[in-house]
Amino acid sequence: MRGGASAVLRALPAALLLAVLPADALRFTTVDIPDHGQLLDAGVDGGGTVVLLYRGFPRVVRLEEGSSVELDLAETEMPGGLCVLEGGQILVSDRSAGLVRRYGPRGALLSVMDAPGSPGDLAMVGLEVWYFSREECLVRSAGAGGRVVFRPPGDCVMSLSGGSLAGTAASGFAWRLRPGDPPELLAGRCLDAAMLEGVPVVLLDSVTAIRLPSDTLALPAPVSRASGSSGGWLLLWSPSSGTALLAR
Amino acid sequence: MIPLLLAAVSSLSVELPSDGSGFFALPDSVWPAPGPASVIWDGDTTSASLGFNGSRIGLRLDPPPPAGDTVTAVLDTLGLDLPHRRGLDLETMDRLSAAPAGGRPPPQPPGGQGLYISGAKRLGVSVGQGGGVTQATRISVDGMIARDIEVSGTVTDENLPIGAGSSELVSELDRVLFTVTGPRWRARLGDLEWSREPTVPGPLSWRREASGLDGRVSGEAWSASGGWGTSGQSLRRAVFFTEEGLQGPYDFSGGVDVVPGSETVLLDGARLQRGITADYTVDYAAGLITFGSRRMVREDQRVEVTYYGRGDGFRSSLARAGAELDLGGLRMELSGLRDADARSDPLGFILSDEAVGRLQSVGEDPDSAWIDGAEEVGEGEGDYSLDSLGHYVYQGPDGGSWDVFFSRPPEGPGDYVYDSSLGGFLWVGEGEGTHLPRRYLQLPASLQLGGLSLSLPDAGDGPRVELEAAVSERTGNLFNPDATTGRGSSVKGRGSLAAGGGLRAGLRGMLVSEGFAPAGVLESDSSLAAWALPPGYGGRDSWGEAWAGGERALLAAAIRQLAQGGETSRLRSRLVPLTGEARVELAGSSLRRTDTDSLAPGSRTGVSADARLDMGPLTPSVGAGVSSESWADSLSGDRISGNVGLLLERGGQRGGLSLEMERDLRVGGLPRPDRRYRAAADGSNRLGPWRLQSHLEHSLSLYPGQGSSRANTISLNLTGSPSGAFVQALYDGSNVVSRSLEVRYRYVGEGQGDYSYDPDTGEYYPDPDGDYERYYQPGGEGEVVTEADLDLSVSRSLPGWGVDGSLRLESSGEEGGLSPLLLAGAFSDDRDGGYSLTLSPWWRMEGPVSRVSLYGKALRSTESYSGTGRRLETELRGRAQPRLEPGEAWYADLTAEAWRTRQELYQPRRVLGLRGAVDPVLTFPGWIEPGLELSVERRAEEISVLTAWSLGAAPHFSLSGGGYTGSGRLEAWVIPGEGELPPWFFDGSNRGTGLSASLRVGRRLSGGLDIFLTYWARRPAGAELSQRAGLEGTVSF
Repeated sequence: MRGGASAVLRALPAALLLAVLPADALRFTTVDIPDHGQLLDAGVDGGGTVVLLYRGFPRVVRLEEGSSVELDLAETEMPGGLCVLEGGQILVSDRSAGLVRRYGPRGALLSVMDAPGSPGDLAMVGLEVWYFSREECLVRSAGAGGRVVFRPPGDCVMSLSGGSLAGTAASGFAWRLRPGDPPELLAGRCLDAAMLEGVPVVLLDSVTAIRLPSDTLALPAPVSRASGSSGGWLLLWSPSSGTALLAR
Repeated sequence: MIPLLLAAVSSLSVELPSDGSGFFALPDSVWPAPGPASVIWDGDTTSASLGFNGSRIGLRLDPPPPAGDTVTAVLDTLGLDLPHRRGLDLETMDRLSAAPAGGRPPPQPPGGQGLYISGAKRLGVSVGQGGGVTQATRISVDGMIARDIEVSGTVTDENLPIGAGSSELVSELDRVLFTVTGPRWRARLGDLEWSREPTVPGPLSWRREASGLDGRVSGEAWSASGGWGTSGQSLRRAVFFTEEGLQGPYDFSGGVDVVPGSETVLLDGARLQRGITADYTVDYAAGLITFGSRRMVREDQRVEVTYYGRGDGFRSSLARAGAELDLGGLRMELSGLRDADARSDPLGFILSDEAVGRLQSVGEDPDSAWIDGAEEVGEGEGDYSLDSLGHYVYQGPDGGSWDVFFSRPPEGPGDYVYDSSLGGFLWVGEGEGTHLPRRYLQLPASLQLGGLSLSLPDAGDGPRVELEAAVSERTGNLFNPDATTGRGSSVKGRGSLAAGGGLRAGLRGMLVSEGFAPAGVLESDSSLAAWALPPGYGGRDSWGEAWAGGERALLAAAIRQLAQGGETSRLRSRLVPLTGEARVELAGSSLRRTDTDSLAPGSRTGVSADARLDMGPLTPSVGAGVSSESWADSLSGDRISGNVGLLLERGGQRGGLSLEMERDLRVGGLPRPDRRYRAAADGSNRLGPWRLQSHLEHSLSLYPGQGSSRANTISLNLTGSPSGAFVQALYDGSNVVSRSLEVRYRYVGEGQGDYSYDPDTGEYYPDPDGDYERYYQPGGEGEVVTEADLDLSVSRSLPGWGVDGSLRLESSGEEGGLSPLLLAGAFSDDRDGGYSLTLSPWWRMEGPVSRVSLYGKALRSTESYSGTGRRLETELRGRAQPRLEPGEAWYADLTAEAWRTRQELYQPRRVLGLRGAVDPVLTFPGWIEPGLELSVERRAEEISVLTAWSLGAAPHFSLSGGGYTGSGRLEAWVIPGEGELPPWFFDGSNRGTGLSASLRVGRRLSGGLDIFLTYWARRPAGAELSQRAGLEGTVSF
């Protein structure tokens, strides 16, 4: 036996549990996306509240119980991406200013971090904020003394998703990124990837998602992007679609 | 389960064909054990790693064997009899229109019963300059710990120093909430919001935010709940009148710091939404609200703001309890709240013997609760000195012998103003300023409230009854309870009976005893307005109303006994003779106030008629009204108004026009316009890829004689995506009160800020490693001006190139003037305003030059600073950054930058700068990227003929691999030459050699434990070395 129990726990704990325990029915809720123009990014918090980021005003719309709350985040000139934390706080990158701003659930500005190089999508991994620098075509950590996290091959467009121990990056390929470890290729072909309670979910094509290593989901509607939260919520959406799928 | 799995490990040898990709899919029945595997290929044994390709598990081999070859894989497997691929049962739930309310999937984690805990906790300690303890937390808990018992919770906070003074900031950023939910109970711990806010406020209405715990249990026909917590915030309320066409800023907090996002704003009873493109914006630090240009504010509109304030108050202790009972249709609710400030727990100030003595001697008047803000601390220890006239004079940080705390008095002017150029307060004359050297004290208070509410649910034609009764005890000053404690009670109720033909008749009213103190809003401001009572009216009045009517007719008569004596009687009627496509509504009201000393007696009578015709896409409307009023102390006379409107809605396009006229024949009080005309147009339109939201409104007020005033509000929001580019233009123009800007600096720790203080010149100057940070605060009020600004941003991103650009124009000018609306002042020195243009294109290409990015900026800004006059600033900057990438193992970033800045405040400065840099970097992907930046820079100040240049070298690295993460930079620079440089000239650097270093390296010790070593150092030329070293530990799980 190589590695011992800790190696097994490190490698695939949630995935094993998922495969061995009986899989419950996964029920999707169809969520209508308010039409405020082009949808740039979307996320979901730990309570299942869907948060949408638009290119124009209002920048952010929270689909709360029974109503939608519009936040214009006036400080953000050119949004690049959105990260929704489990408590409802949101991180939004600003491509023009080279910053990541952290807002409260009601849109109050809480803090600002440096993110030079035209920041695009972003994710929070552990206590670090990672963002994709569109100018440099690589993933960096935000803040003073930010380091290079991942230098991907291929296209200079990338989506990121985070968890407490690792994150995912997707750009045609899908990788799992652990701080201090080399990137791990999850799939050689995909549309998107997201972390869901520590387990990566890879969107292989518009109608099939895979929750590694073994569960394959045939989706009830075509989507092109996936977002997850630590509360177990999975949001599947498309920038051009008027609806999204929410599941737990 | 894991030990069982490990016990079942066995070895497997299997032959696999190569497809040339390097990936060898394993059969679906094989569960490889995590860890390395080996492959025998062409007689050699090499190692392979487990990996995935799509949904398939397999082995990866690098370099890949040619297609058609066969390899033998040897690996450990787990004895699981389960397929890897498993299709989940999928079921689509309800379709939801806006939010997944009520229809969310049930709370079942994907793994079924179980608890999923994730998060990270960091704790760090550093020694040296600015050292201390830091921490950060992020925890999420979610799952089911037993059947039907769900747990969820989150903790998040920023990386903030632990220690005195940070608690309030932490409470703002921290969000802590844990919930345990069972079949008939729920318990919560953390930051909670408790509210009992029915649609119509009453004696039992209240809202509080607390950090604490609460619980709730329920049965078939009952429930009970209770909670306890503490809070550093206090719920406040402000009500005020607006002025015609003046969008703001209106002061609603009196200088109290407002908790961001906590406000609720009503304009004439209608709830508004925050946002620069919505209804209003708020400056939370200053407590100022400005209404957006989407709606013109009119004269005498009533604004009601409720918010949480924080400042020099006391931490309060909160407790609540409640029970609900359903008695076969009759719903009964018991509710109680206790809110008591802790006298011994002041927030933001020290409760000295002097303060206690002062609080014991005053009653409830906040104006009289203050202590002296000045303290003599010894020469070189304070920021102020005291001159022979008894005025405090700012001397810079530690330049004087007095520490002085200035604050705005609750009412009335002060003697000092803040001077932005000095960074301190300046005496300007008795009653001529905004601040006084005083520290105003909040009065600690307590309130206990309990009550009962009864209601019969709406049962069609049956009787409807609602009753609410409460008793209260309030102490207005806990340091002087004998003189400030009052008790009282209040009852509010309403009931109605069906009278046939769709009509009902009913009674409603409220009784309030002297001394009753509500815990929230007892009566909404819109109700006070209907009784012709002023904003903020605090009388605890008793009133009653009898009414009869239905959807198409209403008649109501009411009487109100004013708490300070006198009474008001009111008669209201409404008739809707036509409904449907053509709708006509008639209304009338009459009100009379008599026998009163506290408010002026008088009367008000009015009638109005409105008609609307629905003609498909077109909806024309017309309305008219006449009112007459007579008040002994102010206005008397008639007012006539009329309006016409047209609304067009078709195919997603919407547009509206309206015209209003008002003839005001009232006399008395201040001079006021006797005629007023308003015209408004708004629309929401789409054309191809473009969307436009627009609102334009103009108001013209004509005074008796020849005087007039004008106001405009214009809001245009255009967005579009033509040909792959995204374009957005946002234009706003309106009348506002001009305010000078107070530029303030605060100490944030050694090397933690962006500014330093120069005691020789008394100025703060930009310094990347300074001890101060700059912030802005609105200063004193100025004149009413018209302001307009245009924000234009453009973005285009293609596979090989992209461009981001923005243009901002700002202009300010004479009230109601056209020139500021046309943004002419953006290029003038006479008014506040300016322009800013940035453009940053980039290209990516194949070949030795892999990327080129350019940056250009042009800025011109004129701004009024408090105490110093107008400051002019211009900047022209251009930068080119090509990246050379001749090989895969290294690249080099080149930078060429030139800029020219000009500043004019007391003395002009014109600086020309040039900088060139080269930064070669070696790349070892997945491991380390070391580099060395070499730079040369020259700066010249034209007026004082000052020139200097610097040479710099900065080795740096970025690390990620082998269990290590980190980055570091060591920078050394030299500025040759003779003579000293002023601090503002070269970011605080003097001639000579300077050094700075920063390092942060982490090592993963085990599965979730990382240790980081940090180091920071700085030695400007001719100065001593400052350094700080620290150790951090992060646990992730």
